[in-house]
Amino acid sequence: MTRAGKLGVVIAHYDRAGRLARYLAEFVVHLRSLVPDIVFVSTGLGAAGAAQLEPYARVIVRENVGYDFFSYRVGLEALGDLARFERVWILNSSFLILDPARLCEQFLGRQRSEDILGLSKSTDLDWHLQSYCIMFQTPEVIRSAAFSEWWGRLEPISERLEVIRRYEIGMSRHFTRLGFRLGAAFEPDRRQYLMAVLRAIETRYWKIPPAGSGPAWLNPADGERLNPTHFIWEHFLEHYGVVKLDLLRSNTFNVDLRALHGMLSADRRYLSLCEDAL
Amino acid sequence: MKLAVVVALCDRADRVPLHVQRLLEQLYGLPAAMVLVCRQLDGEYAGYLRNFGRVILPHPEYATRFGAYQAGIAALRDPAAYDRVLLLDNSFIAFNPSQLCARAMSPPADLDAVSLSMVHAPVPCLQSHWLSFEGSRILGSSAFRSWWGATQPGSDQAMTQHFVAGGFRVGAMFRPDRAAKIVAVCRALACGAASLTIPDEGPCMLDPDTALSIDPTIFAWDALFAEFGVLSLELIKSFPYGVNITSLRKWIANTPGAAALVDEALRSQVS
Repeated sequence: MTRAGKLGVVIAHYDRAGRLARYLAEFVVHLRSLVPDIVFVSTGLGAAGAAQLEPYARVIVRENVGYDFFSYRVGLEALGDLARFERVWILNSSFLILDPARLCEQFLGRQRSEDILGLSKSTDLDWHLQSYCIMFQTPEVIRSAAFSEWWGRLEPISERLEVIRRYEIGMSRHFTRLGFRLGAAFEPDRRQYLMAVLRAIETRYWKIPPAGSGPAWLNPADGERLNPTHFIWEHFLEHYGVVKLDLLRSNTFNVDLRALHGMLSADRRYLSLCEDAL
Repeated sequence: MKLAVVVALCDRADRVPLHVQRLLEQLYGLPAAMVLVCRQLDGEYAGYLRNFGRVILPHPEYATRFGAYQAGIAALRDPAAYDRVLLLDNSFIAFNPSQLCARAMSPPADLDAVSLSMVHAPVPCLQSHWLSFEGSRILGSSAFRSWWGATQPGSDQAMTQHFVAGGFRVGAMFRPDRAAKIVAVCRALACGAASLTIPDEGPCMLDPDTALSIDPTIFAWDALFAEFGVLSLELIKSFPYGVNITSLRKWIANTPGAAALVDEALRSQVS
């Protein structure tokens, strides 16, 4: 049973054409069956999409500045007094939610041991929770000065890498430094990390120096530096029913997606949601 | 250097695929006697081939790579009169024929039989889609005559063993460096074609020379492609073992003319 009591949700939406993808509409409808307080912040959602969502969420359309973090801030402000929530979930539209029930069941139903829970983490540049899906899940963190200070000082930044450095990585640093416990719902095991390492090498994302002799040593722990939503995508689909859209769109790291395409093709609903989202 | 080239064209198309045309045009620029062995001698197909050399039609029972090579070598009459006899077929695409031919004209000097690529272990196996016999020692040998004179020549491995047993030195032009070997082994591990012991903690040991026992046209395709501009059609058609060729597919899609070349080559293949 999903434990959704006293939960506030902020969804940050971006679509170049201002479109509302069907998967996102279905997700909001499902979420509304669990949670009354949903704010949907978009940087350009069209009138039709807004009208479709309004029965289920408060819809805010704002200027397209500041990436998803600024939408999170706008949405958190719109939720009002955050002290009334036990948990606050922020997520964006960068991932395709094929199975809303599974995502909610797995992510919301998880026993709390951290103050802040991400769906996934990365150690690329520095350890951080990946900001596409994060839950502030204790009253202590939601009511803290650290929380209001973090969101209160956030400014719109138009440079994507700067947003990642200052806000995605910076947020994890900020709350960690102030003593909060951060963790990821998806914790790959050694075998999964090793697979990520093998894929990073075989796709030549990681370069191997041609010189050297003797055996090579592959450290599964090095897999923590790789984006798990790309390099071991199958576990996100299996456990949470989600796939990152940039994996489907551009597959930057050239990982093998034939199994993913096979899974999508085998399920008409999945395939239809995917085609609609792309 | 007196060179003979035998080209085995085992395809079902009624016209010569573009990738073969390009390779033939490059080979034609070499001072060589060329024999083209094909399955049909009708119409435009054979007419085109006759521009390059002598065209022969093997007996139906020779409609394999080895059978065609055998027929082509027989047509040379006296292979020992040549310094080099190069055998090749159309099971691969040479995206850059000049790059391939330039490399092939200067094979390692210490070898009697040289393929483009080979599997080294557990026993040496020359891959015969591109194979040359170098010098009178092997071309004039009884081992050469007995192998190519047999009615059912057999497999790459049997052929390699035949010449190794005869005391000939065999090898390949493609000699992957340590990085290419590691990539090939990781590729085999990632698709489940090989396995690795994972200790409870610490790093896993990987022997780069494991790459010597796996097919380089599949697992080291990118290194082979980078060095020789060559790709196995089987790799593109059926990605054996589920090997990852995503970057290759992107390259084909984004390189002008490549997709059409590949599509036509695949259509021409004997299934």
